[in-house]
Amino acid sequence: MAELSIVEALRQAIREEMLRDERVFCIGEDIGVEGGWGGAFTVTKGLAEEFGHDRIIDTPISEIALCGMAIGAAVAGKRPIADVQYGDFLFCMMDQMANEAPKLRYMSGGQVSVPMVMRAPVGSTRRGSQHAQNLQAWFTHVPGLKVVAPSTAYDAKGLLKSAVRDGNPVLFFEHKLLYGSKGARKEQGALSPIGEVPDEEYLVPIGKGKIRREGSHATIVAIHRMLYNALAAAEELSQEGIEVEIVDPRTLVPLDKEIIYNSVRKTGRLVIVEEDNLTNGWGAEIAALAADEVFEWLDAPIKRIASPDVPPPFSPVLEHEFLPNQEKIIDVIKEIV
Amino acid sequence: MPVDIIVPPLSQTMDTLVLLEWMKKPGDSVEKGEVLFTVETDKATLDVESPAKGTVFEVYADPQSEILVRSVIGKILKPGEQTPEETLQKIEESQPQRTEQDTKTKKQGKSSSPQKDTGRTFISPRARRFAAAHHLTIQRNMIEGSGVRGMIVEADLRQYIARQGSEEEEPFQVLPQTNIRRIIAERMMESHHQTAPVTYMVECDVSDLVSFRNKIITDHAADGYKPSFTDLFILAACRTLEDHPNLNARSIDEALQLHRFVHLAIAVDTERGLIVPVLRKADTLSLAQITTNRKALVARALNGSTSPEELSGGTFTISNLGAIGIDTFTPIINPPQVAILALGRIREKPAAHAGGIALRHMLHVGLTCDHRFIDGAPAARFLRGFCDYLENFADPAIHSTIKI
Amino acid sequence: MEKKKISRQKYLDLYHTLKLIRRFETRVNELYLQGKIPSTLHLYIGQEAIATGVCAHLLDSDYLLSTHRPHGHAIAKGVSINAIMAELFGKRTGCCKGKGGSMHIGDMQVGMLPAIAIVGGNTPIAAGCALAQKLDQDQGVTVCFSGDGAANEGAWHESINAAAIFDLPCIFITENNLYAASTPFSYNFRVKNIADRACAYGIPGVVVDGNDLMAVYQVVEEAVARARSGEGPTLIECKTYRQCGHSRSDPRNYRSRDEEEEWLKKDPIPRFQQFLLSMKDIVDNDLALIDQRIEAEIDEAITFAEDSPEPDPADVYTDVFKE
Repeated sequence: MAELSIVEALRQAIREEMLRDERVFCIGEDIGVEGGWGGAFTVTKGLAEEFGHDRIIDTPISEIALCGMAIGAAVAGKRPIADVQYGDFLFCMMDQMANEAPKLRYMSGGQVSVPMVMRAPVGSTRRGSQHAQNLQAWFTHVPGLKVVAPSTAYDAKGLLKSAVRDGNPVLFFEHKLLYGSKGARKEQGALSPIGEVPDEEYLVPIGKGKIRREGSHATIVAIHRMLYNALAAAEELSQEGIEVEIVDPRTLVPLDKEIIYNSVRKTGRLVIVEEDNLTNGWGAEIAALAADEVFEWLDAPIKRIASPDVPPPFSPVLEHEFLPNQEKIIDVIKEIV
Repeated sequence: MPVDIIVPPLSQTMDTLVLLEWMKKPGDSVEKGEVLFTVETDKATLDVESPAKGTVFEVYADPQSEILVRSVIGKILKPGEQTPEETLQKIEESQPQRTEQDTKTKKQGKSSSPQKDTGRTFISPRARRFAAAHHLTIQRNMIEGSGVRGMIVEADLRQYIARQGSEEEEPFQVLPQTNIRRIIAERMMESHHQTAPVTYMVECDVSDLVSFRNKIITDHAADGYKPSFTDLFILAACRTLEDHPNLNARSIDEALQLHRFVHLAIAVDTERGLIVPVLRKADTLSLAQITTNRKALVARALNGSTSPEELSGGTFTISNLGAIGIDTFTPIINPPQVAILALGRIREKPAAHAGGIALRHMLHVGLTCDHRFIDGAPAARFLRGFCDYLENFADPAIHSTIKI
Repeated sequence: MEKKKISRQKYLDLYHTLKLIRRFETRVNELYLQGKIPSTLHLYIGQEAIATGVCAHLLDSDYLLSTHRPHGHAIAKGVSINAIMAELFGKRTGCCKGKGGSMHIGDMQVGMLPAIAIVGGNTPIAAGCALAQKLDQDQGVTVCFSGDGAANEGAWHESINAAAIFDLPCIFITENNLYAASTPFSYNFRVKNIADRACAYGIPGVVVDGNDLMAVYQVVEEAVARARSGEGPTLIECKTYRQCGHSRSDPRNYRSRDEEEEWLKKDPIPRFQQFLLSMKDIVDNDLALIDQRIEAEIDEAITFAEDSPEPDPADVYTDVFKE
C-alpha cells in the first residue's frame, strides 16, 4: 500500500498500462519535452525519459490534430492516452470529440472502434474564465462517449486503467485542485487528497459509483472539489444531528443510477452539488432521473447547488461568491430536512 | 358521506392486486359504472368501475403500486356534497385569524405556504406512500406540514401517529385496523343501530341425535364419512325453516323479502377475523353435500380466498361456538337477514328421561330475531320447531327423510 | 525513380474501375430520380481518374479517409458495389448496416474508414492512422482525400503540419474541382494552386491534371514510394471538375454553362480510352466487353439492394459502444 497524490496515481496508471501494453502511448502538448514539465500538471513527468518520444508524443498547439490523431491511431489499433492540457480547450477540438470519435463506430455499422482516452483537467483556479470551466455537461450529452470523473487517488489510478482498456472513447476529467502536485506546480487553494493506493494491480470499473459517507436525512451527489466540500459540510451538519449520505458517482456516463436511487429511497431527499454552471448541468439530468424513477420516495423537492450562469470570474472575492462552498451546502440541506 | 372507492376482490388467490392506472383524477366527474381504474391480477388486466356518480375527491394509491383487496383507495363525492375541506373552511372562516409570528422557524421559504393559499393539502410523495401503507386518511388541518413550502412529510405522519397513542397510557402494541376488522366493525354497528334484536333460548336433549351421528360414522367406516354437528344443525335449520318461511328472509328497506331457497350463512372464525360465507340452496343438499360444501367454504375462509359472491345473499345464519366449549350467547343479527341461530356445546348432564334421571346429551340453542319483522311468538315457535327436530332423532321416520 | 511496367491486364483493370465509377454514379442518380434512394447523393462524376489513379497503388492494409463524396473512392479502394448500393438503399446488408448512408461509406476489410462528412474532419484522423503505421513501422500508407473547400479548414492545416513534423506516411490528395459547395476557387484563395501551400509545412507539393489518369497514377506512385520508405507526406493537388451539382438538390446556377462545356471536353474517360486504344494490344472490343460487364455488375448490385432486408428497428441501439 502506498500513500499517493492523484497526480502520482495517474502517473503510475499510465506507466503501468504502457508497460503492460505496447499499443498504449501518450499524445499531448508539452507532455514529454526534454527539460520540460511532463505535462501542464506534471502527470507525465519522467515518462518520456523512460519510454522515449515515440510513445510520449508532443504535438504543436493543434488541438484538432491532437484529437484527430488519437482517433486515427486508435482506429488503426493503438491505445492512445491524449492530454488536452486544459478542459477548456476541448472546445477547440469539439468537432473531433463530438462528430468523429463517438460516431465512427455507429456510422460504420460496428466496423471500427475508437479505444482512446482524452484526459482533461477542469476546475476554477484563478486563471480567468477560459481556463476555469467545468464542461462535463457538454460531453455527457454525446452518445458514444464515456465520461469519467475520479476524485481520489485510488479511483484516479483504477479508472484510468479501466479507461485505457475500455475499447471506447473515454473523456477523463481530472480536477486541477485535487492533483496534489507538490513543489513548483502546487496550486493556490489546492487540497492534497493523499490516498491509499494498493501496490497490486486493481481496476475501478467504469459506471460504478461509491458511497463516501452514509446517512439517512439527505443524499448529496458530488464529484471532484465539490465532493470534498460536501464531506466538510456533512461533518458540520452532523454536529446538529443531521446525517447526510454522500454519493460519488465516479463516472458520469454511463451513470450508476441504482446507487443514487437506492440512496434516495433511503433518505427521501436529493441534492446535487456541482462546480459547473447551474442551467443544464449534469446535475439536471440526475434530478430528472430521480424525479421519474424514485418520485414516490421523495420527501422534499430535488435541489441543485451549482455555480451561477456566469463565466468563472478571476478575483478571489468574486470566485468565492461564484463557487458552491460548504456554507451554501449546509444552508440548502437545512432548508429541506 | 363520500363514497369509498374500494378495491374489489378480483383474484381468487391473492389479496393484493397491482393498480395499473387511474382513468380519472381528483376533480374529474365520473358516472356510476364508468371505468375508474385498471388493475392487474395474477391472471389478467381488468377494469374497475366507479361505484357511484359524482366527483373523484381523493385517491390514495399510486399507479403501478400494490393495493390490498377490499381496501379503500379513494373517495367520490356525490353530486352536491361538500368536501371535508370546504366544510372545515367554512368553520375556519367564521373563526378569528391566527397570527403567523410563531411559524418562523427556518430562514427560507416556509412563510409562503401554498397549503394556506390554495386550500390544497400538499403531501410529499413519500408521505403519501407512508399514509397508504398505514391506512391513514389525511384531511386538511389534521396535520401541520413541516416540509419545504409547508408540505406534509413522512416525519409529520410518524409524529401524528405517535401522538395519537401517547394521549392515553402507552400502548403495548398497536394493531392497525385491517380491512376485515373495519368491515366487521361497520356491519356490527349497522346491525346494532338498525335492528331490534331479541334472543330466545332453549335447552334440547340431543342424545338421539348423537346416536344417529355415531351410527352414520360407523356405517361409513369404509369411506370415512363423518358429518359434523354443524352439518346436522344446518339440515335441521333448513327443515324447520320450511315451516317458518318468515325467518328465511332478507329485509329490503321496510319490506321483508322471503326466499324460496335457504342460503345458509355459516360463521367461521379465522385468524383475520370473522368470515360468514354462504352455503347456497342448503335446503336442496343431501347431508353429505352439506358436509362437503361446508368444509370447502370453511377452508376458503381460512385461507382468505372466499369470493365476494360467497359472502353475500345469505338468508339465515348459524353460529356454532360449541367446539370452543360455551353454552349460550346472544348472537347479533347479520343484516339484511332477520334471524340467527347460536349453538353451544353438547354436554352430558343429568336430565329427566323416561320417568327417571339419566345422563343425557344436552345442548343450548339460542335464536336472535329482528323484532321489527319477527315477533316473539313466531320466533319462539321456530326455535321450538328446531329443537323438536333435533330431539326426535330416535324416530325412524326422520331418518328416512335424511339423504346422505 | 524507376517506374514499374504496367501490364495489359492492369490497364484494363484501371479502365474497369474508371468506367465502373462513372456508370455506378450515373445509374445511382437515375435511381434517386425514381425515388428509390432515401437520401441525397454527392456524385463523383468527372473526377473518376483521381480515385482510380490513387487507389491503384494501395493495398487493402493501407488506409483511406474519404469525404461526403465517397462513392468513387470506395469503388476504387475495393468496396463491393453490392454493399455500397445496399447502404444507399438503407438496407441491413449495406457496408455500414444501413446506419451510415451515402456520406459514411466505408469497409475496414479494404482499409477504408467510414467516410467523414465534416469538411476537413478526416484529415487529422488520417494523420492518426499514419502515425500508427509509422510507430508500427509496417510500411503502410494512409491516403486522405479532401476538396478545395477543406484547404481552408483549421483541421486541414493542423493535420498536414503534424504529418510533416512527424514524417508521417500520409498522402494528402486535394481534389480541386474549382468549387467549394457553390463558392468558386478564385474567391476563396489568393494562391493559384493549393499545392503551393505545401511549402508552408515544408513538404513537397505537386499539381497534376486530375482528369489524366496516367498523370495521376505516376505522381501518386512517387508519393507512395516516398511514404513507404519513411520520407514523409506529400500534398498532391488534382485539378478537376465536378460535372454535376454539389449534391442532388443543386441546380448549379453559380457556374456558367460555357465553363461546364469546356470541362466536358476534358472528360477523363474518353481520354483514357484513347490512350488505351493507342496501345497495340488493346482494341475496342476489349473495352466494350468491360462496359457490358460493368452494366451487369451494376444490375446485380441493384437487385441485391432491392432484395435485401431492411434493418431491424432494434439495430438503432447497437454499435454505440464496443462491449
